[in-house]
Amino acid sequence: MMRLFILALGFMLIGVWLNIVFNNYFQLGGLKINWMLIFMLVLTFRHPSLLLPFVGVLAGLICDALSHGIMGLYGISFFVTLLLARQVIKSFYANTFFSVGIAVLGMSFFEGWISLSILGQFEESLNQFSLIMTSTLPLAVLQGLVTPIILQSVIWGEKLYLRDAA
Amino acid sequence: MFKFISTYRLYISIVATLIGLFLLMYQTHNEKGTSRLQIAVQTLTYPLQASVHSAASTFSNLWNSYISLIEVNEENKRLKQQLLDMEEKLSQHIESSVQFSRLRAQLLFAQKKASEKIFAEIIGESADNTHQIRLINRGSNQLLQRNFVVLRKEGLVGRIQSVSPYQSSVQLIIDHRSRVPALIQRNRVRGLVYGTHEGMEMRQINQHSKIKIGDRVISSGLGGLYPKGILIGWVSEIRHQAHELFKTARLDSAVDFSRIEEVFTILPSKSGSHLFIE
Repeated sequence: MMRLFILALGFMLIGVWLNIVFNNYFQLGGLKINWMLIFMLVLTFRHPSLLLPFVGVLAGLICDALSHGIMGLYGISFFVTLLLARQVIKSFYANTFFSVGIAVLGMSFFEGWISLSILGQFEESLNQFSLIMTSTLPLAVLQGLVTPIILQSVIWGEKLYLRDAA
Repeated sequence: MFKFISTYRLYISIVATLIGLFLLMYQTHNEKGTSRLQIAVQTLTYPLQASVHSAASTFSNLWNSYISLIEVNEENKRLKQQLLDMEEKLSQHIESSVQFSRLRAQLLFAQKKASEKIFAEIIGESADNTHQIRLINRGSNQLLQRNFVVLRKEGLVGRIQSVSPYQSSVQLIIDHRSRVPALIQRNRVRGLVYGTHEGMEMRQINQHSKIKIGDRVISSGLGGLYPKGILIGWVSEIRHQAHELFKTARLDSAVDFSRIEEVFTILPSKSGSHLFIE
């Protein structure tokens, strides 16, 4: 459990770096990939431990601090998404590059929808449908496409750090 | 009681986390200042962003200035500077003719106060796709505060949304939460400039007012947040249905938000004057 926590924390920090530095210089179609979310989702699909949603809260709070400043908004959406992902994995076999990609696509869309719904409570003029169509959906597809790379790096990380944990 | 908690500890911890996050969210949303958690995260991530930005800028400058097309680059810079100077002169000329000489002394006074502006470099962007936020490398250590106005030579950029010791986040005027009281420079028609994520719209324009494509839109100074007279953009499209009470104008922004690298922050004048013409 402790090793998984440290591994998740490590990947989360890599995700933070990718979110705030890498995204600043490389964007596909003007969309900023949420690397932290992909790392947390892939880890959840591989280790459906309850620990990961709580690490996801921390990742969400970092996202909040580095964007709109409404602390807790992404914290909630990450937490709920990762809790759902834990349930989804029980009925959806996600252990190949393709299936994990599809699962991340679906969960990313769900996370985007949750965060926009909460944001809509604060900002009444927010055009949620337009943002879902122009931002959330393409981003979810993009995140699904880059998932195999993340999955491979997670597998490498596990081999390095969790190989003797079992 | 203990048995109950022990049996349902999983659900209790989930519900407690959600309640805690909701409370945190409502508290930070209603807070006037920047939350401590946000300050902590921004302070911790600042060295990461600043160092990469510095390295990238150095490499970029080296490449642009010494390796790639040295002369063309220099000439291009000079011509762009000239263009900006001309644009600024035009803006000042129009403003001076519309406003009267009684205001000129104050305008020049505001213009001369170089100490009221703080230079800052943009070192990062919002971590999400929903908001138009930029991170700058100046913070409370450089006397910046929330709601200070951010601009460039070309025009208005936005306002400071949150401040930490070494960096601040700037809400651009194209962010969908942004509202700027504005007026058409030519005929002083008032309206409110809304951010639409991709651009800007001037709404609540009197239906009988005569506006046309190409009209310059400047901040009106109403509300006290943005100083009067800063260029926002130009009218590019006018929409008005017969049944509507107001006209709406789509704007081309004066600032190219996709390319900004440096900005200025205005420190409010101690005299209390909100008048400012760049």
